[in-house]
Amino acid sequence: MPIRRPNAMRNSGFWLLVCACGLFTAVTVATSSGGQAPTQKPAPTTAPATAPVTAPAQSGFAGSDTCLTCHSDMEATLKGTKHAQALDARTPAAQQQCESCHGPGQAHVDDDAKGHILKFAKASPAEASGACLNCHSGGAHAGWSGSKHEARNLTCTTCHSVHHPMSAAKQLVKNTETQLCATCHRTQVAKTERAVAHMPVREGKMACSSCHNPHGSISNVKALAKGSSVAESCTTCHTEMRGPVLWEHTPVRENCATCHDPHGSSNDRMLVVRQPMICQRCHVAMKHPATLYDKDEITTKKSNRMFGRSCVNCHSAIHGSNHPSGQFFMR
Amino acid sequence: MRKATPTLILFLALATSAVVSGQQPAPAPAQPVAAAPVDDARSLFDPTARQFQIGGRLSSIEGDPARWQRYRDLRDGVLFTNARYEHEWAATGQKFQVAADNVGYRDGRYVGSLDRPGRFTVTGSWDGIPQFYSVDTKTPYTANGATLTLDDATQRSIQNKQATLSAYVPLAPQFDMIERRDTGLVTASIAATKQLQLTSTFRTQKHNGELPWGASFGFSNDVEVALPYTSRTNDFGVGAEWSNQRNMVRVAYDGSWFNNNDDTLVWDSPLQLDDTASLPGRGRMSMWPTNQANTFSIAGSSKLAARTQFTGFLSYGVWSNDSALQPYTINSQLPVLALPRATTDATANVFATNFGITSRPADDWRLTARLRTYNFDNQMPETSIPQFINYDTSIKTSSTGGPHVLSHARGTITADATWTGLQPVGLGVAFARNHGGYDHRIYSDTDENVFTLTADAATLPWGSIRGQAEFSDRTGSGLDEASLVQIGEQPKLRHYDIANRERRKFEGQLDLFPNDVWNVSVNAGVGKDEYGDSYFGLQESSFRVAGVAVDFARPNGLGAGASYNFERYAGFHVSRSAGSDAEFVDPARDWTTDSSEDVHYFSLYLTPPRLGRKTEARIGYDFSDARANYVYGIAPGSPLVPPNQLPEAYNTLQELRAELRHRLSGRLALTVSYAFEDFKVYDFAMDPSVVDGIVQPSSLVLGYVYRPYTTHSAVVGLLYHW
Repeated sequence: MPIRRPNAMRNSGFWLLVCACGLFTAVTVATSSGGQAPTQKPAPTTAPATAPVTAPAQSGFAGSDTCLTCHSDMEATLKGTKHAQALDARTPAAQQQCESCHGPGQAHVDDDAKGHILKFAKASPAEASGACLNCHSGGAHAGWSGSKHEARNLTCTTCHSVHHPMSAAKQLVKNTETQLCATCHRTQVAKTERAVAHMPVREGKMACSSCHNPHGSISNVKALAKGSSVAESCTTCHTEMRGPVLWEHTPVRENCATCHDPHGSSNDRMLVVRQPMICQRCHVAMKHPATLYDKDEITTKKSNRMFGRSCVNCHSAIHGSNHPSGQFFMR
Repeated sequence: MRKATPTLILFLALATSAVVSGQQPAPAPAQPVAAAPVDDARSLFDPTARQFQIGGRLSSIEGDPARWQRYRDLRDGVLFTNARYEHEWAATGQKFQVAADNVGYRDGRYVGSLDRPGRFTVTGSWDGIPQFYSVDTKTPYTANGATLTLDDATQRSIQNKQATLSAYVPLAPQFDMIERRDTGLVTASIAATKQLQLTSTFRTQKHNGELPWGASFGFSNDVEVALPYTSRTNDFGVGAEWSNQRNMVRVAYDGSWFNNNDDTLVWDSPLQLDDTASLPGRGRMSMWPTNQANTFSIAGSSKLAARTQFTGFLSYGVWSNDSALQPYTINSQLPVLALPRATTDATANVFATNFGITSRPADDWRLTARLRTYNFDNQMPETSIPQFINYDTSIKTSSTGGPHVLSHARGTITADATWTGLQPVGLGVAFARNHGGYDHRIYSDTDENVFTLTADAATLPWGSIRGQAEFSDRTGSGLDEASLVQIGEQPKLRHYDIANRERRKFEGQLDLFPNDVWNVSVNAGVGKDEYGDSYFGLQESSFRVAGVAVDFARPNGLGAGASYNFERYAGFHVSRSAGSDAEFVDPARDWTTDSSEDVHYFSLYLTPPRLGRKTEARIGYDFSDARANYVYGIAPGSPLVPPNQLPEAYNTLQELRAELRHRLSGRLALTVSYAFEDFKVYDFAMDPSVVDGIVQPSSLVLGYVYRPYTTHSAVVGLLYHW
């Protein structure tokens, strides 16, 4: 009779959390008031993302001088940024200035209630993103439409600020990229702080965007910026593992994340679980692969299948071998 | 050469920019932007366009300095860092920027860029990343390139049973085990026209040093060496993107060439000098082979009617490795087996596509459909290797008759919908069908259905709420248990990366910002994978995470924050210990491993308001504690010896950082920083009590261990800006 652990983790806690999500939704809808888009939507001042803002001159545009009579502090916030670079014909500064992004402002000037203008903080995610996508829809932003962040109702202003950036680069709403991503991806960022095995993120040598494109990826999963698979993304830097090789180790070829946690781990080499356990999850052959290596194997026998680097003490070519005698990755 | 290389990269970047710039109309004579007036209101911690910091670092280290430094170079000495310079030509808006950090240290970083708005941007950088393994390492080996030799006399005396491995101890000097990765990168982006963007990238990466490496001759002669490693990877890419308000087309080529200068490791056997028919005097191993990858891709998007957008991507790549095959063994006393061919002749065609369509048929609806495929078509010829030489020691028959040519393919269809009609909540539902096809796996195909529900309220005036629930089921088909039997595995083993699996996952986050001063965030997540059809192998894995964070920021500059994060990971797998055919089929010999890891992470920061008019400070503290347990279980009445349970493995890291800056004049500030780190660790396999020397029973190792450390580090300097 095979032994099995009693299934102590029932699903009740799981369904309780699902119900809590539903309850939150109900409470949120019931109690929300204000802070939403005005019930009377402003006249479509900013063209939807499918059409450019190419209003003819003087057609509903007030001019930035008019904007600055009330919003005088906004001009200084753009100083030195690319949006204010008038010599670049593509920028707002070279076109309708404030109204390039916020839409024609004459109706806003004429409105006592000061509506009829795109207020990014109060706009729907689609409206806010649509304004930015008029210009920023190519290059690294080509994958935004249909991306995970878009599907979760994030918008450009969730992460970026044109007028009040906190970061030195990329106009982020936090001081650093890592702090920004940690706002939602706390667990992944916490993994990069692991003491034993981590990517050099906290040393400042890598950032989340070293691997991911937060705007979405048109080529890869998990918003990975390079390649077309997890393994391709990893091997853009770890090119020695790319192969192909004579004797392949299957999980290596298909997905590095089968064995490694790319964000960080408490195990050597960022393994999802230490050796020999990671290997014994897939190897149950006779003799040493499926031997139970307990404390005596280390302290008394000092088995070289357990101490130090365990299985790769011998199977060091674990990512695949190009040697004719490398069937077991020992040569 | 080492110091010249960063200069070379920067020169290349500037030369490129000079060429590009030369193609543009000559700019008006440079009129430097007037120096910014002194601004007492500016924080001393805010970077400026022109500055540098010079000072000295002094540290006291108790314990393992290698673990402390890891990816950093924290040696005592003069420190020139945080250097920035910027020059802008007002007439053209052209901007030149350079930055340098940790100048002269292994982790030095140098960046330069030239940007002409609306015309081009050229960037060059050189970045060093060291990896400091250990100062505890010792080895009796002498390296000559990738050939590691031992003292012949000692080898002979051990061979003749006149000495033991301990004879190598006095011949093993201490050395620092370090490897490093130095990357030079040049990128150029040119706006050929308002609609056409040309990009080019060149990256060269040198990876060299030594790393711990297993170089074994069998259970009774296990060896760990410091593997010499020198490689270079060059990547080159070009692309062109044409776009207007509605359409975008991009074509690109990316090439990558990895060259391993130490692709063969030869090392002496510590127990044997002369080759015999059963014992080698040396071993020879193939290291990572030189390889290359060339990929062409085309992508495009088009904005259609009815707020619909189509995005498409496809790529075709060829990966290859044609390194010469080594002989089966370096042991001169063993038969010479005929190689199947002279070179590896390994090639793979890699084809990937990603097509998606997104539509907003109504203001409250967003729909997306996506088709993604990935095909790794291994073209390596079938290779007959009926026999090989095991450990350079003996002929062994291959259980498979040669390597399997592994190909795999994946296809994913995704459909998702988001509805925002219940303002301010956005509700989402998604379905994905993942299909996998495999060669030489226990399943020929897998299919997985994934349902995802999301709820996001992101525009509330007082905060935001997010939640996601995922349900997925994966099923394999074409089960081939015979392939497991062929390689001596249990036929009821299932490899967890493709085994039948049921996954449930839920994550949620609540953020509250009741005013401009306070911000509170709470997150939680739970998930479980169950492999119900796997008799052997991983049975289940699960995670639980929870966190809370509070941030406080007042207009007077006072800011503080604290966060706590808890993670728990667990896994359970079943195995069977067997030394004979009879034991192999005896279920009473089954055993289990229940693994769990708990991680607590706490972070605190304090940004006090100015201390007087001229002094500012920053304080930060991080605490991380990770504990792992592995509990073995055997069946009641099992013939196995009850296991002596493994001790808990743990590591704890505390970091305290404090920095103070005091304005001495309008341009000069005094900087004083202090960093305290305390690292505690116990790993039963890497502890000095276990690896207590380079000589172990049946093993000659490096002595690489996990050791704690406590460090105090101070940097005093001057920050000058103009």
